[in-house]
Amino acid sequence: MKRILVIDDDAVTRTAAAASLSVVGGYEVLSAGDPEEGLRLARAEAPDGILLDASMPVMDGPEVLAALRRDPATSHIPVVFFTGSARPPDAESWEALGASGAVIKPFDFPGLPAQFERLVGWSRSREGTP
Amino acid sequence: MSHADETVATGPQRGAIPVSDPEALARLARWGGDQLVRQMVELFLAQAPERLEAARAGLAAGSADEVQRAAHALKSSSAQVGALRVSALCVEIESRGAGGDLAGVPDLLDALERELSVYRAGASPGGAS
Repeated sequence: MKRILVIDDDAVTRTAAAASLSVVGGYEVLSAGDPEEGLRLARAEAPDGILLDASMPVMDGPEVLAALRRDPATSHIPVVFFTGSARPPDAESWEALGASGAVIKPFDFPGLPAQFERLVGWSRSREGTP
Repeated sequence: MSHADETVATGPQRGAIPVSDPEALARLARWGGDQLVRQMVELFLAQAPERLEAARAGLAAGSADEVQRAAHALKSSSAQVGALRVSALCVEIESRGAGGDLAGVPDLLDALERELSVYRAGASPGGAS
């Protein structure tokens, strides 16, 4: 079972994303409420993918991503930004930062796992509906 | 939520926006059950006053950045739990903050506080699921 790390300082969004990825997607989910904890978990647990809030106090998403890319233990992990930006993200700009893309908040609860998989290039069939 | 057709005098445009989006919570409930919905709404209602206070503190300090950050944070979580009017107000406040224009923000924050109360009243008891 693949593991996804969700890093978001917003408890509502973090809880919803973790529930979607685990309940709908069937993933094992790790959660971090701040960038430092997220980096620690990424290094210690080596998740298969990371959903990273683009806008956090102290250290924002692009800074966290840069730290992940600098560390050989985490440099290979695909990262998808989580953003509440009113404007659609410019895919090229996310990719230029080293991310696989971005998911806009608020996100589609049942659709998040498939969206994440599409962005990071994981192929997998999903069975059943609620 | 039980009052999607209510209107509150928060402004001519916002008055046309439902207080809440029952479908947003219904989607959550279909996949995660009522317990997840309750957890999400409780988290939101616990967190929202802190965000509101952060925005008021930013306003008092004359910091458009702080106002913008607080509104931005509340915008997504409110939309996630279907608090449509709260989210719409946050969009407006965030926009003012981004533009460095804090002139209308006190009234918008007052409206935000009122809409949070309306949403809270609709979310309990049993209204959230």
